[in-house]
Amino acid sequence: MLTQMSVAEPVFEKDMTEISTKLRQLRRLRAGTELQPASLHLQSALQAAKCEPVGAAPEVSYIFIGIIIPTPN
Amino acid sequence: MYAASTFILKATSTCNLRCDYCYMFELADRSFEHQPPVMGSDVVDCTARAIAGYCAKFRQPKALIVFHGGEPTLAGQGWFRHAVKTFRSQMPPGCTTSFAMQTNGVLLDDAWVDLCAELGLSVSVSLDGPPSVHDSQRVNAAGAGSHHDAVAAIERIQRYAGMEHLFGGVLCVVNPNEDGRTIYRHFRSLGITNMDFLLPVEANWDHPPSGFASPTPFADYLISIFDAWWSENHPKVRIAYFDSLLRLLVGSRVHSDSLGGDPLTMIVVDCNGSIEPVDSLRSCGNGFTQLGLNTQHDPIERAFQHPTFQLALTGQEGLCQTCRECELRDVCGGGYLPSRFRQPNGFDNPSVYCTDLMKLIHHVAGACTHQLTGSSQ
Repeated sequence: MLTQMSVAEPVFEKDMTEISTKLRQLRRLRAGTELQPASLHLQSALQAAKCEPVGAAPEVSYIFIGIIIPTPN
Repeated sequence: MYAASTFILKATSTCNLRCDYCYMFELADRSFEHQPPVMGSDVVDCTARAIAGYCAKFRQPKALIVFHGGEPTLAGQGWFRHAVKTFRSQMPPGCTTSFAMQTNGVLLDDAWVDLCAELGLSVSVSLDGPPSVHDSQRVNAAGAGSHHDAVAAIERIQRYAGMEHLFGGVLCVVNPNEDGRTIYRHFRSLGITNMDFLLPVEANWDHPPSGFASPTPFADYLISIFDAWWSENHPKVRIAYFDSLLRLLVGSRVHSDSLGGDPLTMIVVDCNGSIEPVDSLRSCGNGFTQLGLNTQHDPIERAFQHPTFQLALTGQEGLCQTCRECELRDVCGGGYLPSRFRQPNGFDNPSVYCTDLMKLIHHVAGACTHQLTGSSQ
């Protein structure tokens, strides 16, 4: 029975190197690779990222205080 | 100066449901007891002027006015006509203004849907899943569930021809006692294509989640939804939380109070005109969001100087040491601000959902890289 979770459970520590690699792989995609993932959701995220100048103010505004904000894409 | 473009108006401080997780009425904050039940028309007028003045002064290209509560439809249709008309007349030229409402759907009959269409108001409905889930918490004062009414409201909106943007989607509070796939299938069976999921606001380090067999019950729930959504692979089915997560994973910036870590610049205006930061912070203590500012005599931008508002504005810079050193910092952004709270050190903590967030992010990143590289998750 869980009463209080500890932060960053050690079970995940071994995965941090792996996730670092994954994050780097994913972020390189933004730099212009033409890979077309099968997931249409990932395609959409990549497309949005490629259209967004690096450092630009975020356009998407999802907020979680009990509201769904319509988004442009 | 921070740029606010989302303005949440508390149309009412009352509700026709008694959901036990509601941060407005059921948690630490009791400020609703001192609010008028409905925002007065004079307060609407002052608020419209204040927001319009802010947008004009800082040349905001767009603004979103969100009607919230309590339950906003309790304000009545006349109130909404007045409010939207007032805002439309006040907002400066060059600032594209749109309107949205979050409702429990109980009162949303055909006349309401007609009015929302007429006013250009996007409607989102709170729905936690099938009746067995939804009606366990979203009940009226007599204890009766509201699933039937919520679904009827959704169907009325969906029937409205040619108005795709009329329906903003459904918002679902995560309930780890249920299987996420069941929730997702229920939504899809209703023809819902826009949905979002909210981790329970009531949990923080002073009140951590308890009673679950799994150490990561929230991740397990969200992962099962993610997998169902990912495998359906329907381009029109959107889950805001996962869309944000994917965008963050590929290096975009996303303005969210639950992911990312950019400053939160949304403004909340309570029924009496009180200017406040993101109102889920109400869960942290009675009167927590009270800044002592009011649209009737203060400019909106004054809120940004307030220490409480600064908590929401600090973004990544305000993360605790553990988060700053974390590889996932740019993705989770420390998670939902209220979920970091603990007495006495306030928000200088990781999220109480940290382990769940790590597991979820790891899973989603794995699903992405698997497609791109063929590597295993």
